[in-house]
Amino acid sequence: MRYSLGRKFSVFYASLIYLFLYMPIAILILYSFNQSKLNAVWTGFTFDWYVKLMQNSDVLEAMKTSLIVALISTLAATMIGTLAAVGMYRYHFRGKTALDAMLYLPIVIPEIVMGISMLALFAQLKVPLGYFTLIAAHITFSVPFVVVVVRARLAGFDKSIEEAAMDLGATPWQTFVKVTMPVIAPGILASAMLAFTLSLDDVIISFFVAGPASATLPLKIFSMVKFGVTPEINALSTLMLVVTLAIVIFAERIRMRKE
Amino acid sequence: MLGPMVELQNVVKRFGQHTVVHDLSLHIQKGEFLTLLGPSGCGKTTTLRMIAGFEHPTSGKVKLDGEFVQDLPAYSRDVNTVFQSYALFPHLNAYENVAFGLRVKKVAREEIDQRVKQALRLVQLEEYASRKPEQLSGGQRQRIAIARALVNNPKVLLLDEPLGALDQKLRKQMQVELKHLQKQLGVTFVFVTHDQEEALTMSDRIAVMNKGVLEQVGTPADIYDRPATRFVAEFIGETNLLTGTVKLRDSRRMLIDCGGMEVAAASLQLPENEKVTVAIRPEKSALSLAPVETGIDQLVQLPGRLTERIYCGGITRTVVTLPGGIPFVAVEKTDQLLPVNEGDELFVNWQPEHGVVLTR
Repeated sequence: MRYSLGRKFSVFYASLIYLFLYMPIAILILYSFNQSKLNAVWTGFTFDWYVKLMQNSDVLEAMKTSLIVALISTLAATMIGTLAAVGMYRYHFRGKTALDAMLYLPIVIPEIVMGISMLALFAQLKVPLGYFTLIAAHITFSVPFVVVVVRARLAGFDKSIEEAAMDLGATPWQTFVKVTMPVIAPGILASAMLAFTLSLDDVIISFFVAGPASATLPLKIFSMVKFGVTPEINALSTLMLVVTLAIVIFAERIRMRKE
Repeated sequence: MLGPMVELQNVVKRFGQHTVVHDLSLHIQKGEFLTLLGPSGCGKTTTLRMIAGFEHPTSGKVKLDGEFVQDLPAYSRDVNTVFQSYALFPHLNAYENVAFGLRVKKVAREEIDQRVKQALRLVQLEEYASRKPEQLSGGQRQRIAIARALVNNPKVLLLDEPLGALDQKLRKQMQVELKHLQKQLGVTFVFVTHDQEEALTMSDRIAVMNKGVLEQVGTPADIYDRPATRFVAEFIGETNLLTGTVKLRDSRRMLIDCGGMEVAAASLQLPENEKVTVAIRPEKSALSLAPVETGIDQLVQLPGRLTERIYCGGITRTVVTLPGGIPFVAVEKTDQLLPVNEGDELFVNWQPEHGVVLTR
């Protein structure tokens, strides 16, 4: 088969884009299995860096912090965000449009502004930096994303099934628990996964609001990188990548199956 | 005789500036099949939703089995609704959909099972109990929706255009089934539709609505033979309308001048020169080649020209153009057509008492 010049060029162009997107990640993963301490020469395959990582108590501590913060903030953000989305969907009230828009605004506010403003707030209120501030900050930036995802799910929601439930004798609360929740559950779950990954890899906001004893994993990596990128960091990044990807794929599969 | 099952007293519903239902009063008897009929946007669904409890009347009262319910939420009212879109719970199977109402009312487990199975048997869908709504056909979903409502033994079953999404054949079949079900159970049905034929075949009484106003309430025969307003005459079935003014009147007959044509009709208490409309059903009129020898008060006879014949199987609809270019539709038996062609002259006639005189 012969391809035209235009076609060859478009294939080449597309390949470049994907290469550019995935090459650095591929190299990062590859070098996490490299025997050499230098990220330049390939000398042989090893799992040493992963073993070493698991013995690094600082890293393990940061991992624990990250998981705790991610779990708690995901749970809270999902609950707050879901209720907000359902409320915005169901009720009409004065100023709804403005409030609705303000829910999404934090998505576009520069993270550094969010970080500094939260730091200023906590300082003002004399709240010591630590787990509490970290979790509060993570909830804050996750909520808008939860609202966006849940509302997308609600857009395809047939309101008459809520009326049907009430018509059959269910109180508004029973209707929410027995009908609304189960029907939008895939959206809620997907939003929770999103909130979890957002929390897990946040650097900028966490940088401002984390205390000395509550460094998250990304912050730990950030500080390690100051002394050069070691294969150990490659290994750690690879692990984070695997965990994040697994969560995203899981969330997508639930979403696809339910739709 | 007990009081009515549903009573609407001077009900008004406004959405913002827009009045959807104007001062509507209506009594619905126990065990009655009442149809709210009207074009889309006439307020019939809003009226139904006020009975169900999804809308709160702006003013007026709603009585259900003798008790005022206008301030009760939907979940505290002893009525159930079959929704236009069926509104089955997508995450529950047919059995659980039907059981929903009983479960929230905390009915005992064995009783739920017995009643759900009975309801499914009633709609002939016992074998489909474990299917999810998405695995059911339109007609089956429809029946599950009916079973889900009826299983609660409601005082009134409200049906919001439930047959709208079905194809013609299934629609006819469901009309018969619904009517049988209603007779068999003796439950009061309030049925909303914009399909006049459906209303005529199914209802005990029809309430015709237009622009939020109740135009007429009566049996299908009342509505069809004695429409109270021009709107009802036009909306239900096919009708010929001739407008004119009252010229002469005695105790038995009055003569109406319709643009030069003289039309006799049964006498009404109307002043001379009153503007009126005469409505004549196509099947009440006849065609003749020459004027019939009789008095003007015995038979209304108007000359016209044959414009079009539309074959409809056993009958043929024949359009005659009257003087002044007014089209008039008559019905002929297809095997007994008059020997005339398009453009030929002929006469339309009907008995004066078959012309219904309308003043609004």
